[in-house]
Amino acid sequence: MIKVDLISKSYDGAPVLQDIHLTFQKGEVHGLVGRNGSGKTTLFKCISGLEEFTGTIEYDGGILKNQVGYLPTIPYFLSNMTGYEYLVLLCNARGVSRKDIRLYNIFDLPLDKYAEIYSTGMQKKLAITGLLLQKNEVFILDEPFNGVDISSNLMIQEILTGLKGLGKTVIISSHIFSTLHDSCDWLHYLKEGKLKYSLPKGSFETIEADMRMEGIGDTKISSFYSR
Amino acid sequence: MKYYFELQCRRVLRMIRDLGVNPWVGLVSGIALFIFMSFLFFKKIPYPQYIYPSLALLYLVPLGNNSRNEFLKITFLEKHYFMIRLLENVICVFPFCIFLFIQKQYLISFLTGAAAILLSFFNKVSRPDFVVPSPFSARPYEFTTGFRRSYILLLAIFILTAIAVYYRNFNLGIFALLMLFLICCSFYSVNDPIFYVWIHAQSPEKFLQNKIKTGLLYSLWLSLIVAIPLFITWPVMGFWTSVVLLIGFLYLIVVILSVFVNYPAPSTLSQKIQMIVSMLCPPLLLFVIPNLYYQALRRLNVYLK
Repeated sequence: MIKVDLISKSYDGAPVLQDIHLTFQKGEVHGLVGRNGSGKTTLFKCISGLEEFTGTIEYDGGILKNQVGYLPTIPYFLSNMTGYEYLVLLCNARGVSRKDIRLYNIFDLPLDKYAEIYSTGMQKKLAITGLLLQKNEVFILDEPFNGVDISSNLMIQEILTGLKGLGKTVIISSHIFSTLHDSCDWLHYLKEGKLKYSLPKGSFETIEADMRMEGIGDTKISSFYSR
Repeated sequence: MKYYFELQCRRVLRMIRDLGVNPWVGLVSGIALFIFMSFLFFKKIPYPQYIYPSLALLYLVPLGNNSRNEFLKITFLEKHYFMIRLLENVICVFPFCIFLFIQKQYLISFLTGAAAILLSFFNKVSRPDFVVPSPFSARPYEFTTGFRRSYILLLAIFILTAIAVYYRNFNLGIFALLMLFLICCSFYSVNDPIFYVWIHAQSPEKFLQNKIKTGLLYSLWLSLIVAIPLFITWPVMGFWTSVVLLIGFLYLIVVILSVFVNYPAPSTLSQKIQMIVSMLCPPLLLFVIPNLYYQALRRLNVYLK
């Protein structure tokens, strides 16, 4: 279980997260929703240990940072490194011994090509494969469905279900509501750095309706074309 | 278009500020360093009138990068795009042309400028898909990627070693060994992205020790290709070959630690000076290395547990 208690984070005095309180149980898939800039990625980074913050995060399975698989929105790949070497690096980093990495190439990626020249979707799939190879206990996936084709999207949903079955904790964000609808047990709605509310499966429509209402307004598109 | 160049100037000043130096002081120092290095180049390097302009033109190649030019093309009108590329190349090569002019290399100065203008029309530079096999894939990543970037230089060093042995020139062999360590050090020229540090389930101590261990092991493999022929050909000079090897390994440790002394920011100017001074006076390394090690540990504590 991960217990996030009163987490706050500011950048140059501007609050990005304020008093976030959340609990993530094993075997659950949690979705984080909110508009761009609502603090989702910052919260992910705080839980992963990539950002310093005020507040506490308790984890009953050891050092949380060493058991988190974090998928950034845009995974970064070093130049001159093949997909295969990226996977070796990720395994080495966690002390996981895998002699048969190619057997786990579930997305049929060209592992002997440079990862930096992969398409956006392929890079995301490579990063996900790496997280799975690391045998993580907690998965934090920031926009895992972005830029990925339909069949791979379905595969990722299957992976989420599989991880849930294995008792792993999964926290994801996505702007494609249908993907969250199918995969998540809980949805948490972040607005301007604050947790507005959390809802269990079966009542996600409320959040969707709220978010739709927020997005509607005068976009002032005509001002772009006026002199 | 004017704003684009203003932006480039601001970026340069920001880069200097990130080094911990007042931007204007840095700019003046940079110009002074360029002039000094150019004079030194013409004094010490053979055929400088050919190598110097070649370096200037090589410096323009990244500006012709395909993705970069695609961005410029879709952002600016076509006529502005061509003007930008032309001006970029001319501005970058201008100091080199002026210096060639001062050195009375009028024709070469003119040809360098003309070549720079011509190069502004070649904007399809992209990396080849061909993957260079790396013998260092088992423990990515610095040597894995560095080897691929520098394999031609490494090959040149091995050829230089063969020439040194063939012509019985020990100094040339030692020079090759030093160059090899310089190339190995260049593998650590870019700061590790935070994600690539964070992924390690290791304490800062273990992480640094592993980095150093991998660096030493792989540089040993490479350096033996040069050192063994030197030991065999000049057994009586074995002591000096060993000294150069030892200094090379110590330099490599300094460079590895330098990545993390101010992590995630690049090392500051004072840290750089500290490292350069210690490299110029190797006995100082015995004091500087532990100091750098503890500074690096402090910075890594944020990301590793």
